[in-house]
Amino acid sequence: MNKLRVEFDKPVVRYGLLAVVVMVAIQQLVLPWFDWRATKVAELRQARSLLVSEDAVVAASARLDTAKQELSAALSEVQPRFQDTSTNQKVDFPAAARSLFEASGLTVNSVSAEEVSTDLGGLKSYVVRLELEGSISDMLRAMQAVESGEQYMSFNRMTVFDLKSQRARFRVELQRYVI
Amino acid sequence: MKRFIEQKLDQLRAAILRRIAWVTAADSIVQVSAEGANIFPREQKAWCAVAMPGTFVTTSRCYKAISRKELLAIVNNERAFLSPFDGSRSLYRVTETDEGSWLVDFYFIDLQRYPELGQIFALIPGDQFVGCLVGEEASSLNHFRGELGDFLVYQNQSGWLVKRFSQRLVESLRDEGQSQQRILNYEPSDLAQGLFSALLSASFWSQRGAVQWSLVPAWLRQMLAKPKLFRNVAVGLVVWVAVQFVYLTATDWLITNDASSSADIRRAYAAEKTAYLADLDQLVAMQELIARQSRLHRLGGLFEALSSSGELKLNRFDYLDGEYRMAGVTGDIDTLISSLSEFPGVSGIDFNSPVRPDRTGLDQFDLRFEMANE
Repeated sequence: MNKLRVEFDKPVVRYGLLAVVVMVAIQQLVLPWFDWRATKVAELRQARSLLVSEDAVVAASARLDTAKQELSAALSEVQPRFQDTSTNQKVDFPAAARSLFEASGLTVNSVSAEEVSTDLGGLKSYVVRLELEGSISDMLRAMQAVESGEQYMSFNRMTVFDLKSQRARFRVELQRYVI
Repeated sequence: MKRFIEQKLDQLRAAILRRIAWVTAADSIVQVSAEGANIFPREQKAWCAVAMPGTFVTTSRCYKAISRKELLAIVNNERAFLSPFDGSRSLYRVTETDEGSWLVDFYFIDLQRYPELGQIFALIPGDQFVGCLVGEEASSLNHFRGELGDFLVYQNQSGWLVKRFSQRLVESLRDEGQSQQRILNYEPSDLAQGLFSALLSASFWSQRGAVQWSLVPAWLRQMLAKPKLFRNVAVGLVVWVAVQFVYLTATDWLITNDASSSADIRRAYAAEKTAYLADLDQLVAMQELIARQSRLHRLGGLFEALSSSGELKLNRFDYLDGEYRMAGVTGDIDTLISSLSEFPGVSGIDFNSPVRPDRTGLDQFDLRFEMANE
């Protein structure tokens, strides 16, 4: 015990031990403290920038309610043209197109239909291709009926053959979008 | 518990704030509190002062140095050389750049104008706290108005710049192509909030230029004269660490508590907003479809207009996604083109092949055009 005390009384041992204690304290306490502080401040800054106050959320909800009312008013004007009233568009859409052209006095030689993919606001899209025969005036009447109908339909393409003859031939592609 | 911690934190902030003087460009030294800004009491001694834009002249220099010691020697030399005033208080802020050099922002304050600042130990440039005011509402050119002065905060290639507001500066920024300025009001407490955030996150190295080292010997002498110095320093350090720990932990707890207490409202709002955006997306899509719906029934009127302009025989007629193609023969191609271009909505008339006379002497054409929806 006395030997140990003698050793501790030596300046080299005393200051050496003090230096060791200081270094261990820096390594184990000071540096981890600065690391923790820097990390915490960064986290708090990020959290504060992301956090919106409850009052702001309530105010935003009120604004959203107003916007939703305006939106539903606008939707109610447009949506009826895109309502899907049929159970199977792939069958009903070509049948409706056929009867529409036949009602205008045209002869329908062939009809084919398919569903096509679209990324327009969750709408589904169907395309009908028809080969028709008849006069230009009948075709113009049919176009009027298609484009002014209650259900939205649009011509993608139309080609007219045998324009010189009394009964021209038409190849048309119609597209419909439904909700 | 939450209210208690908030109250204690507010009290701590208020106590520190009372000891900080804010020097404004209107030559006034004010004290900021929750109620606003008041003149700093004469009998009170400020611990440190914040110099707002307009009270200092600033310049920035980039230096390459092999060590911080060498950089400090350069900076101290430059402070005396660059100062535009006879007697000035010079501050600097050091930032390490990506290229391995040091960007030093110098601030010079005229001591003839603000003699009281010569005896303040730490003087912090306030432009960094004005920059903290930039939030979601800010645009690229912002005019902040408040009791501590009017400031312009604008964006350039190196980031946000803060200047004292002047109409001439606004006009010159507009000439440089800055967008319309946005006017935002701030409270002095907003700047105080920025000050606390900056002090807590700042390193000693970046802020050492705020300290007036010539005042240190007197301060040290006073300290050294006191008994139990080392114990007091150790207690002070422990208290400082403890205060920082409590402040950061309490702030973290408050933010987490705020977020979790209103989580249901946030979730409901997020769900409603998602549904709203989906409906809005659908409305836009439907309106777009209606706007670009084909109007082929207008061809009746077009054919009538063309046939009345002279002899016309069509061999081919096509419509494809908004473009019309027409081929045939006509008595006079110029009359046909004139009639076509006069028809409402017709544009972009172009020939697919050159016009040639056929065997009967009529003009043989093949053209395309577009017809806008009326």
